[in-house]
Amino acid sequence: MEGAPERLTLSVPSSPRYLLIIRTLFSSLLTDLGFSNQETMAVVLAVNEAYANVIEHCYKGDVTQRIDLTVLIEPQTITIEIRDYGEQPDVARIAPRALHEVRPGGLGTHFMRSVMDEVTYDLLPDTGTLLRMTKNRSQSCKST
Amino acid sequence: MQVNVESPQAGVTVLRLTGDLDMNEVAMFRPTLEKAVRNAQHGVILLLSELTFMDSSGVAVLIEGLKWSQRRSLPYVLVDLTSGVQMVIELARLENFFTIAGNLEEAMALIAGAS
Repeated sequence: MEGAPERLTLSVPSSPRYLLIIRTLFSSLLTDLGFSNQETMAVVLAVNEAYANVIEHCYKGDVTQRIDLTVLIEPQTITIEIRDYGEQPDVARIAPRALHEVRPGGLGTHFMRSVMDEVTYDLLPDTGTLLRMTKNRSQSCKST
Repeated sequence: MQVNVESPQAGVTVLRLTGDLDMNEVAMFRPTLEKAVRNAQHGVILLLSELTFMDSSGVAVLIEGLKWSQRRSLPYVLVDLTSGVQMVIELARLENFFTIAGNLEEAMALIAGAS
């Protein structure tokens, strides 16, 4: 594919009941793009964690807010952007916790950084955060 | 997610998890697990062969279950992990933290050996 990336956009309420729908959507999309089962499971996990983090930390569990998902499909990469309009995190504190410390919580960020090739956070001027996660497409992926 | 509670042997509680364990399901599952650990006398087994997805909130509740079990000196065994759940346990580097068995018979033998 030459030129602009293919773009999918979706606005979803900030409710955990949409997690299964989002996973199903991404699982189908990634499989269609030629990602292996292992890669698909990993990216679906990362998207799930990112979405759940927004609900928990940016919207403090308020299920009525808005989360925008954008997928950019390019020949070499797939990029998933998750934009919220809630409380901005302290980016310096978004770090995977020490794994030797076995306790509940704090694993989601570690999963995202482990399975994606690039993870960045942009604090937006008015409100909210744009999380951008990129996964490289291997040779086995179809070119679209 | 669906949870079936079984007791194949007196004092051993088996929780059979079917579906996805995510942030939406943890609130339902946590009290079920807490009750299972509280009531078991010899051990708790989580049968995960039908658990198709687990996220970090699911891992967190499994860690809680293990800690509750350790306080009661109860064996706590995860059985027959799907590839997705195995991936999450390995990403969290918890494969040596949990006791993991390949099947129910193996888990029962581990519990029998611990008592």
